[in-house]
Amino acid sequence: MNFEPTETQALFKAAAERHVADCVPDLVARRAARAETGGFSRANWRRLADSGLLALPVSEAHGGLGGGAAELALVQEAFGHGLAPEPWLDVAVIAAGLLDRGGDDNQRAAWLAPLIAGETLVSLAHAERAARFDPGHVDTRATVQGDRVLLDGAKIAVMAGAAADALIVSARGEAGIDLWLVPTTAPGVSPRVFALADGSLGAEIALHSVAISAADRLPGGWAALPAVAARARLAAAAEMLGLAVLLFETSLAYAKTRQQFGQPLGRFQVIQHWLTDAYAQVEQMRSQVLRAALAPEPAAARAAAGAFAYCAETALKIGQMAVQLHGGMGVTDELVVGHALKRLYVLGLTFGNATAALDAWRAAA
Amino acid sequence: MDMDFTPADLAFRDEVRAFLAAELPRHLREAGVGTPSPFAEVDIALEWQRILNSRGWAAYNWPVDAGGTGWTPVQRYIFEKECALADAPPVPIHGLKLIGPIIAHFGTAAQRERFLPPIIEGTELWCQGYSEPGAGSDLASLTTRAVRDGDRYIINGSKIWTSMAQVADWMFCLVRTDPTVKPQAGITFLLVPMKQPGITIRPIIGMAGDYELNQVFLDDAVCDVDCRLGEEGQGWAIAKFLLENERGGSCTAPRLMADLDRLAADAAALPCGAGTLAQDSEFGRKLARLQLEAEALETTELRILAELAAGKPPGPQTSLVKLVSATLRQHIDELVIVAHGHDAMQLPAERPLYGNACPEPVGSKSAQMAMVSYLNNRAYTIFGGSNEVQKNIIARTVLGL
Ligand SMILES: Cc1cc2nc3c(=O)[nH]c(=O)nc-3n(C[C@H](O)[C@H](O)[C@H](O)COP(=O)(O)OP(=O)(O)OC[C@H]3O[C@@H](n4cnc5c(N)ncnc54)[C@H](O)[C@@H]3O)c2cc1C
Repeated sequence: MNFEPTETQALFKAAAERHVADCVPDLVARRAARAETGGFSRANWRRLADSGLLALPVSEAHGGLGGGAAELALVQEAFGHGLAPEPWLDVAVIAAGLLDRGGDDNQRAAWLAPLIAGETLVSLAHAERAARFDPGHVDTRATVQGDRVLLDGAKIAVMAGAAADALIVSARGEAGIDLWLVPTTAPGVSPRVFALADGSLGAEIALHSVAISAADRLPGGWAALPAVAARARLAAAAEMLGLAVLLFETSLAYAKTRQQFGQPLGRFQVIQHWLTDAYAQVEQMRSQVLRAALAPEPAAARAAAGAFAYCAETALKIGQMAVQLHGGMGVTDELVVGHALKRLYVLGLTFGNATAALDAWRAAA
Repeated sequence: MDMDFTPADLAFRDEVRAFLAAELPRHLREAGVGTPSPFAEVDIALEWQRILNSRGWAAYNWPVDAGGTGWTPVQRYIFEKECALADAPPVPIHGLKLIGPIIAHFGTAAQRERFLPPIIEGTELWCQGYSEPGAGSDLASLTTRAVRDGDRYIINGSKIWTSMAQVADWMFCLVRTDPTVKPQAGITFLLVPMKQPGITIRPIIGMAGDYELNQVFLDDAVCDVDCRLGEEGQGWAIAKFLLENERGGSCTAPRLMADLDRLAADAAALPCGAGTLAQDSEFGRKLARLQLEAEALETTELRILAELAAGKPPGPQTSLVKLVSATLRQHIDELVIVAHGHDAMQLPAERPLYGNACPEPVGSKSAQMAMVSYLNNRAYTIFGGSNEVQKNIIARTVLGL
């Protein structure tokens, strides 16, 4: 048993830490990145490609670096701790994961290779309003018409939806649900972009008789979705851990410096107890993330759902405590505290919310 | 014992209902729904105030001789409840609810004459200058200094978290006039004009993107001695009276219950599994628990109002109400976020969230308001004495700990 990162793992972790230190050292830089078209900096995105972090989650057979769950967790925790604004989870873990595991060679050449190079963005368009958090509920239709396939339906919560060049759309056809590759420029694709709590730009997307070809079906896409969802839940849990550490450290430092009634806040027993709770909760979150990151394959999906459910609820408690502890300062946009709390709410809906993940964990027992 | 309204109260309720049905226009109701904070935009708040004033109802918690309605505590409660059910926007609270009754109580005849009519008519707006960068929970440690110079005071220091200072004509303000005595005893209550060279303000943007808060810098700002409320050194007692007056007549449950009603109605329309969210037992139980808490709060507030009506002064239960109400507010917001699922992630940057500037909601209007309300309402357990401060007060003064 050894919970220390290997040398390679440590290198990826360091690369992610360097990325946030260089690209988003403070809230000024973060705001500037958010103000760019699409809601993040394309220059910083290309740096992720240069440092190999876009290739990390993809298998070596398909041009990636073959990073496993542990590598992903270490990198994503660093992104959380540094409040990284890039859609690494949505594009490099989820969309790339589906192309990697479920695509064919042509699709990978057309979309995965440029994605890894930082030139192209792909995003999953799966969620629908009527589905709530049921992954099997897909009302979007795929209708075969000669050599064309027509997609009709409406997708919500498409992350990085303002910047995506292509979507991976789930749709129900004669043979069940499939995933389809759809360029966002295709006629009939109407995105409506809107701002999310973390400042990113998501979209809901209407599909009206969007014509694609049978060759745009990801042959193993739908079958790969549960494994990709499991990785995404683990990665999201790890980012929540990073955010929780940030919230805890910031709160602890404030409790030591902010004075009221002639003493630091940290002298008040209630504040001491909040911070000891947060300290324990962060350690427990880390343990859950480690369990999921190190779980053997057959247990990985369940462990990831468990880690996600645990971390999503626990991190929110820490986030709300941090706001309260900072008093008036806590409700402003001037501290990392508010930014971290808002990011938690977006992450908390990765493949469903905490309750959905809890149900998945129970059902898989 | 009974919990019934008198026939007169019921007649009053019908009168208020009829008034709201006839006089509260649709765009103000939409503004009420689209206002994610206790402060409406000035144009909205003032339009609503003018409508109320034309009926003589603007100063509804002031005594008659000051130009108020002289309503009983129960009537005020009924009024608040009907306004909440009708989605009325907030009135400008600093003048009408906070300082107005205090000037009516402590002010000289000249001060009442000078300050009260413009508050009722909405021609002068106010803000509250208590907190300072170094004095939040420990308000008595405030250091903004006022020095007497003939018939005026010269004021230096800084106030922070001053809500709506950007639109205020006046700030009611706690300042230190005597640094040599025990902290509470050296504080004086001043009414300071905002539009003067000695005052500058720095906007502070909230985490939802709203602009309500400010830091106010006073650099040789001046105010006439005539603008002192009470005597030098009386400031702390007046501020305490204001706080008790505000909390004592609190009617927070109606708004919370209206929000819970809205949540229940939304849940009945939100898909979940084969049915609706309202049928989901986990959600349903959480909602029911909050509804019971709100019912209890309503009755606790009515119990306090009944005591006030019987002539008893507001007691320490007012801290309890602030604590319960603020905490419940946040629990409701948290459940609203859960209810709206993916759509609760939206956080529009545009303001206000009604009228032409408002983007089309993603999912529903309630979903559009969920995150912005949640984020702004984290402040409920901080302002006006944080939850921890309320608990300290209760522990000390009620429980004798
Ligand atoms: C949205 C908003 C609007 C406001 N509007 C106004 C306004 O218009 N005018 C105005 O004057 N002020 C206003 N305030 C200020 C408000 O009253 C203060 O924020 C509040 O008094 C807390 O002070 P602080 O922010 O300095 O926090 P601090 O006093 O620094 O408190 C930080 C944390 O420590 C806790 N704490 C402090 N002391 C103790 C203790 N003894 N025991 C245990 N815990 C403790 C607090 O509960 C809090 O969680 C507003 C605040 C907000 C958030």
